[in-house]
Amino acid sequence: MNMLSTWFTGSSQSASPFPSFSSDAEIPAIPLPDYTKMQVHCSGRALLAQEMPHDQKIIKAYVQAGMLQEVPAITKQGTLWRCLRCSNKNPGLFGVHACACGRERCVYCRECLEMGRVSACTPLYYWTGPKASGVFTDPLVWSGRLSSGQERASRAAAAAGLRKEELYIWAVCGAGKTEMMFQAVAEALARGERVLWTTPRTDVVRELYPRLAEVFPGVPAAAWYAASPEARPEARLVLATAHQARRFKGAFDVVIIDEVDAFPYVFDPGLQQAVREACSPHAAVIYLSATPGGKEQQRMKSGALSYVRVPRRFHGHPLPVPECRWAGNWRLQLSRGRLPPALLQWCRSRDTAYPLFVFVPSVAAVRPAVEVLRTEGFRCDGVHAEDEKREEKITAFREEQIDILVTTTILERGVTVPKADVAVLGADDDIFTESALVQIAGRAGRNPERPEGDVVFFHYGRTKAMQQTVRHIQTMNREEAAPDE
Amino acid sequence: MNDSSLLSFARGYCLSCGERLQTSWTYNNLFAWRAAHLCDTCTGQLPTITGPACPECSAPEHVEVCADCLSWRRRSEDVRWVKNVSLFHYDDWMQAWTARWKFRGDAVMAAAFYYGLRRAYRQHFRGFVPVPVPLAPLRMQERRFNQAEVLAAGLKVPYVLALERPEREGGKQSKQTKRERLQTVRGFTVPAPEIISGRNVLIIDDIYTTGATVRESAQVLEAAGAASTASLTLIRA
Ligand SMILES: [Zn+2]
Ligand SMILES: [Zn+2]
Ligand SMILES: [Zn+2]
Ligand SMILES: [Zn+2]
Repeated sequence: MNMLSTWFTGSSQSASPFPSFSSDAEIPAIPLPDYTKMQVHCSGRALLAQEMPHDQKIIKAYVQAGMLQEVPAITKQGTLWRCLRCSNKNPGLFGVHACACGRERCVYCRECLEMGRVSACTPLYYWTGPKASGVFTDPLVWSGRLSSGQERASRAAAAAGLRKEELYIWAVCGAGKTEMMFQAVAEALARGERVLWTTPRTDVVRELYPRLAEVFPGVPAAAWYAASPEARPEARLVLATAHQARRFKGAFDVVIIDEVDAFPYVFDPGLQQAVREACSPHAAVIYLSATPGGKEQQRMKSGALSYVRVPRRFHGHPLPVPECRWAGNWRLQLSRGRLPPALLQWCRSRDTAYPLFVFVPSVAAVRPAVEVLRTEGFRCDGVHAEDEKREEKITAFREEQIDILVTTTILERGVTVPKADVAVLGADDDIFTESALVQIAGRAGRNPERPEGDVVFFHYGRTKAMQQTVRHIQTMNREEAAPDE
Repeated sequence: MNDSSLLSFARGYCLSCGERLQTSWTYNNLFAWRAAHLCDTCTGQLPTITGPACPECSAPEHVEVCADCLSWRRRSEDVRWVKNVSLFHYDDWMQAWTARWKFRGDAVMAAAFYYGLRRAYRQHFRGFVPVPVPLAPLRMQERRFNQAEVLAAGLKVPYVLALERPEREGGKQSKQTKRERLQTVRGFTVPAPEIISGRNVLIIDDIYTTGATVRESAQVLEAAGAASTASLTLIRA
C-alpha cells in the first residue's frame, strides 16, 4: 500500500516511470572510476549531465555497467507531455522551439526551469546501483524537555517512522512541532534511513535548518530552497521546499510534511506527485499542521487516518483569543495613504517593548501602512514575497531594531518572533481564510515569559472566517491536554 | 520551418510571470488576444517605445537621427541599409524578462510579443525576408535555441537561416567596452548567397545595443547580394 495515499487523494496513481532501486544489486565487477563519490552524489536523485561530478565518458561507463540509467527528461504519455523530473503534466507549462538537437519542435519543461532546463533531448540520469548508506547511532544532541502533549506526539511519530505508517499531527501553533519530530528523525537516522523534511515556504526552511543542524551535529544535512547555494548531495537529513524536493527520486524512507494544509500543497497535484516520487514507495509519512483541511478532519474522525492532537502550547498556556475591532472602511483609508484611526490608536496605546506584526491583505497595502506608522514615530518596515531584503528585515525585527513589521500573508507561518503581538488590518478581506487567521493568531504569545500576547483583527464587517477562527481557538483552549483520542 | 503552433503550449498563464490568467483565450479582437498572454500587471510594466525615437534605430527620446546612426552613416559600410525598428527599451523589467527568457531558457516567453513584432513587420518591412542573427555553435549547444530565431518564427513569414557564425574568439560580449564591441568582428558568413541575392533582407535579433552585430550582418548580407538590409529587434538598449 502506498503510504502517501491520503495526502494524495484525488491524484491518479500512475505507474512510476522510474527504474526500481534495488539495494542488493551487487558491486560492479569492473572497477568504475571514483565509485564512492558517484554513488553518494547520485543516490536517490535525478540528475542532468552537467550536475554530475564527471564528464560524459565516465557517465557512459556507469550507464553501461548498469549503475546509472539514462532516460529522456520529457516523454509523451498519450497526448500529454510529462516531465520526469518535476512530474509536470500541465500543457500550459511546457514550451517548444527549434532546437540545437535538430528538432524543429523540441519540448521543454517550464515548471522546473529554475533547476536547470530540461527538454525532450536532455537525458536525466538515475542511480540504479546500490544506494549510498549511512548509519548514525545516537545522532540527537538535545537536552530540552518535551511537554506531555509533545511527548505523546513524539512517541507516535517515532512508532510511525519505524512501522512505515502515516500519521497526522494536529498541533496548535506554538505547540513545539519541531521538537516533537526529533525522536522520529533520530531513530530513522540510526536505522540508516534518509529523512526528508519538506515545507511549503523558503522562510521556514531557512529558519528550521540551523535548528536541526544544531541538534543533529554529526549528520550531513542540507537545506534546499529557491536560490539556495548548492547543497551537499550526500545529506542524510534533507530540508527542502516542495519544489526543491523534486530533485530527489526514491530517496527517502521517512518524510515529514510540515504545514501540509498550506499553499502550494493544497492546490498543486504536480507537487504532491513530486514529493511522493522523492520518497521510496513504503516511506513513513508524518504530516504536521495546526489547521487540517476538512477532508483530513473527516478521515481522522472516521478512523481512516491515525492522528495525534496537541491542543496545548508547549508552555502550557492557552492560545491568545483574537479580538475583533471595527476599523471602518480601511480600503478607502489606505487608498488615501492613511490608516484607520482604530489601528493607530491601538498601536499608540500598546506597550512598545514588544514587537508587533501588522498583517495586510495585499502587497499594495504594505507601503502606505509603513509610511503612516513611520510618521507616527515607530521604527517600522514592510515585507512581501518579492522583497529581496526580506531576510534582513526579519532579522532586524527579531533583534528589536524594528518595532513594527508590516507584512503580507507571506509570514503567516513558521516565522517565530517570541514575544510578538499581532494585528490584522482588513481581516475581512477574502485572503484571510480561517486557516490563515489561525496561523496568524498563532504568531502571538509564543514565549513562556509572555504567553498571553495580543491578537486584534481590524475589520470592516465581521466575516465567517473571523468568527470560525475565534471559535477554533476557543475550542482548542477548552480541550484537555490529557490523551482523549 | 516556421513554428506557428508554438502558442499551442503555454496557454492560460502569463508568459512573463507565470500568473494564472483570468482572461480566457480568444481571437476575437487583438487586445483580448494579447491579454491572453500577459497578465495585467506585466502588461502595465512593458517598456514600450512610444513618442519620439530616432527614425533610423528606434533610440528613444530622439527626434532627429541620433549620433550613433550618424557615425554609422559616415562609415557607410552598409550603403543599402534602411533602418532598425525596436519595440521596447531596456529597463529593469526588460532585463529581468530577458534573463528568464534567454539565460534560463524559457523560449516561449517570446510569444507574448509576436503580435507586436508582426505588426511592426507589416508596417515597416512588408516583403522583406527575415534572417535571424545566428549564435556561435558552442553557445547554441549550450542554450539549445537561438533567441533571434524564436523571434523570427513569430512573424509567420518564412525565415531564412542565411547567416552562419564561427566560434567566437575572445571574451563575452557583455564584458567588453563599447569600443571593443564595435571593433569585434564576428566573422559572419553567408554560405548560400543565392537565397537572399536580390532580396530585401530583414535582420532579426533580440537586442540592438550599439548596432554592431546588426550592422556587421548587414554588411555581409549586402556583400552576398542583398538588395537592401534593415533590422527588427525586440529591444533598443
Ligand atoms: Zn519539469
Ligand atoms: Zn532538443
Ligand atoms: Zn505577468
Ligand atoms: Zn539612431
